[in-house]
Amino acid sequence: MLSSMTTSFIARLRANDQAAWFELWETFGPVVRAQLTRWGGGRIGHETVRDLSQETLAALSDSIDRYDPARGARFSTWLLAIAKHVLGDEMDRRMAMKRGGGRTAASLDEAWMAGSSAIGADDAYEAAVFGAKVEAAIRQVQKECDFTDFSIYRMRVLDGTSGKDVAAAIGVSEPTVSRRLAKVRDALRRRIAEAVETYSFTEAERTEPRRNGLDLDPNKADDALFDEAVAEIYHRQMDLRRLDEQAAR
Amino acid sequence: MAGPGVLLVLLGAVVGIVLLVLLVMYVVVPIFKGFGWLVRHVFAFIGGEIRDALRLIGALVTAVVFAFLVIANVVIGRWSAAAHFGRAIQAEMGAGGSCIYRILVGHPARFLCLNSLVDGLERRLPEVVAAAPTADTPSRRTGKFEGYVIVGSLPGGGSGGKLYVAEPDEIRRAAFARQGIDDVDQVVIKSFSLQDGSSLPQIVRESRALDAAKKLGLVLDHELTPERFYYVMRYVPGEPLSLVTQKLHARAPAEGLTNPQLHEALGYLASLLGTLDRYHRGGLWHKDVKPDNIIVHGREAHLVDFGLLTPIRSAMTLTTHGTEYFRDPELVRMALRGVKVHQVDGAKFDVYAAGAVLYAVVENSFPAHGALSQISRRCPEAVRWIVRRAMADYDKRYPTAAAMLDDIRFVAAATDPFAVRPADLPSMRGVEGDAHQAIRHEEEELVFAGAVAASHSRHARPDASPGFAPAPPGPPQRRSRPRLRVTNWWSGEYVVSPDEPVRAAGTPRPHSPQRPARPRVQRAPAQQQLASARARVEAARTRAAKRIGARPPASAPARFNNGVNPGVAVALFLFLAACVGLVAVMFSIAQSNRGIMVSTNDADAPGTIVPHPPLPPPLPAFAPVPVEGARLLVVSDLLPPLDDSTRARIAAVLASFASTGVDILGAAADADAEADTADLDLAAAVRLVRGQSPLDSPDAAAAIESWLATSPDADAVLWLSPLTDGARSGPEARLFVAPRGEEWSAWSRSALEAIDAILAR
Repeated sequence: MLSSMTTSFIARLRANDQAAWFELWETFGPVVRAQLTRWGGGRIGHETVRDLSQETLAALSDSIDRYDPARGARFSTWLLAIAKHVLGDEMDRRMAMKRGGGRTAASLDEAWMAGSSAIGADDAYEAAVFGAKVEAAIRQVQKECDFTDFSIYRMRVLDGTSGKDVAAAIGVSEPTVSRRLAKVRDALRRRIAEAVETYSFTEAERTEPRRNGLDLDPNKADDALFDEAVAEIYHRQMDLRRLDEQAAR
Repeated sequence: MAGPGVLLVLLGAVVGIVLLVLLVMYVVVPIFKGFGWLVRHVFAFIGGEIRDALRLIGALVTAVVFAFLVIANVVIGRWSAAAHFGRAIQAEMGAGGSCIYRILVGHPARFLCLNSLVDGLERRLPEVVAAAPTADTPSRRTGKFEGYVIVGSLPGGGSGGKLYVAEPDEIRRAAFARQGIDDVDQVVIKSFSLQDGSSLPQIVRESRALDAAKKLGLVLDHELTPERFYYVMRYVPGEPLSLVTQKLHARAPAEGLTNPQLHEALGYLASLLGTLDRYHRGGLWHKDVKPDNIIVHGREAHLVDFGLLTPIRSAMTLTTHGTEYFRDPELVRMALRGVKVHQVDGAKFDVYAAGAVLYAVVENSFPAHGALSQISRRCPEAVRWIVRRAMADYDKRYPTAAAMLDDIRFVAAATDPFAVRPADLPSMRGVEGDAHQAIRHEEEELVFAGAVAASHSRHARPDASPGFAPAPPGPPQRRSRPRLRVTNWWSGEYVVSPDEPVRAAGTPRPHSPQRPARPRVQRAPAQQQLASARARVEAARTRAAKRIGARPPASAPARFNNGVNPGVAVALFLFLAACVGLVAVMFSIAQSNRGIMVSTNDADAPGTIVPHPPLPPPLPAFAPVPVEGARLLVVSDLLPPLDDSTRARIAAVLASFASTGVDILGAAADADAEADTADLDLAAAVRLVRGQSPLDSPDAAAAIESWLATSPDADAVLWLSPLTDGARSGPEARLFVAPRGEEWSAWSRSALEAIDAILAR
């Protein structure tokens, strides 16, 4: 059963809300590109990968109206199946197999709606999709929090600067740093919960934060663990984006 | 006794096991890993070679198929389709060339772990080729640019326009001087021509902010015709900031820029922000600030490429144009929502881009993570803060380029930038820097001039900025305005003081003392005033000439150079060397051929390397022909082309006949030679006489001999045919002679013996 946030997001996509599509592209574009590059095995250049990742979302926009939540596909599988279809289509085109020219391209059947092991999602891909959700939440928190508050969180948690150094750099006391950290952390917990709700189709996807060390219930003892997990995911996503950027150069 | 022994054995066993485990962990496993790596390496090499070989074959086969399609389409007159397939052939040939390169160079180099060796060929070469300038002169379709002499071209950007470097002629220079634009030595002409592939939307976009750009002095000249559009900018020599950044980091240690390099980088940013601030105050927004659009000359950074320049107060809808990583994602969201340009503060998007440029300079990379991008190289915390503040969310970033400039200048002015804390920055302390104060001074001047409306806005409307501010007409009006006093620069909190009256244009400033009125004096006659003025001007000129003469000679300004540079010289040298080498090789081959010819004829010729061919054995002797000048018709059933051996043997036979005084008719010995028409008629006649009878049958011999008896044109027939004996191959000859007596019969027999001897060789 989809959550109300997920259904509202899908409703926005179905209503062709450009901002929703851009959000999807900005959040999951690097993940799709990385996956397409892996599948391409060096046979497709980064420009083609970028085109294909855009075509993936275009194909997604074509199929969004036919999405059936009762089939039980994961969100990550949903993206992956469409990306795979687009890549297959491109490969067929490269082999000069035009549509209707003797052999049809890979048909986009409804298999992506069902949780199928044939799709071939591996742990790295699933981790990248989850990381993209967390990154979207961090980005959202950065928008809504005070600049200094988020900068403190960033310096302390994401950059690993000590609380004392952060306080000295910003010109505030250490208790103030702790207070502002807690404020941003609470906002981040809320936003991660929302992001996971928005981009999850199955119950297993909704429990991913806990499995990745991100306990979304306020718990003083788990704050350090939560911060550590956020930092780890942030750095992993940054590596992914860096690879994407290097491919684009 | 057994106890210690057992203990020792156990201890020894444990130590042995531990040693074995250590041996396995630190020796055997690495060896196997190394062996595995080697095997993978070899297989990767072999696999790569096979894969590329197959790709090469596939590309060639595909190219051949495309070639047939091209020909077929040309035949049926489908020129567009033929061009399409032609392009496909080009692509296949390109792919094939890449495969050949990888087979011959790429994979072997990688196999030998020389990846760095081919890096230049595989990465830098394509980049440089892609960035090569266009033709040095505009095409005939584009036409010339009146008033300018083209001296070179520059690589085109992403806008699709062509960039030419030109020098204005005297008339154009004078026109510039009349507009107050001096020292225009060289210019860049950006040209869009519909006939050269530019599109109308490109032209419209480029020409959108032209008037404002001209008022700011960014664009010197422009022309718009139904077919093309071009505008002229100053030529700024130098290198793009992206290249300068790469050079900085190439010289820097691995952890990041050194302090002097950081100062240099901050200087570029300060220069950029000063330019941006000038644009913004002029009512323009650049929209495409990125390292490639910043030209560094000396210590100054010049912003170029005004293709996306947009008036801040434009009523147009926002577009998503710009460059990824340097374009605020919020801009894209707003554009997708259909927000108008005047509804947002476009200057803030330039501030975001300036932050991204600072990130790129410090990190030598793109800010791929947007506002969350992390600086991993050596960088002062204050600079990190500035980058984050500039790339922060739309509402939280620096409100103006001047505010960011203040922070940059503060860090750049510090002896040790690493000692500067973010809390010390002017923007954090609520202190106005030099840039802000300069702006405030200008705004006060504006208020004094009567432009009241713009007094508290940093982003003055174009009609309120210095260059666009006409004095309001009509009588001065007294209006009141609230006086704002900012109490917290960080959060923007302020208090409103009681209203105070505003001075109107022309009214004296209250804090400045009233100037005493100048006493009215008697004016001199006009001629005297004129003479006096001329004397003053002459004296000023003399003083100026002295000043200029006393100045140290300034270095000549850098100019666009499209002459022979070292790279071109090296390329020309290599080309000439290759030509000389080619000529030398050809000459050598020619000499070698000559040596072979000499050696064939002269065994004692010096320097021959080719073995002397054996001389042919002497021909068997014939009996003399009974009649001098007897005519022998040669008819051949041998199928051309004849091999060299057959040809030589037949030539020997014919030479033997010729040596006995026989005239040879027909050209059967040389299948490629054209036979005489009369000889062909004779051959046809004898073939007709022979009919379908086998050549060795008595009927054929009788028919041919009777034909010879009556024929006045031939005395004998030599019929060459393929040998019917399965064990041997080669020609077979039969000689037919008219029954004219014993002399002819003897000659025939001796000739046949000689022929058999020759053909049997």
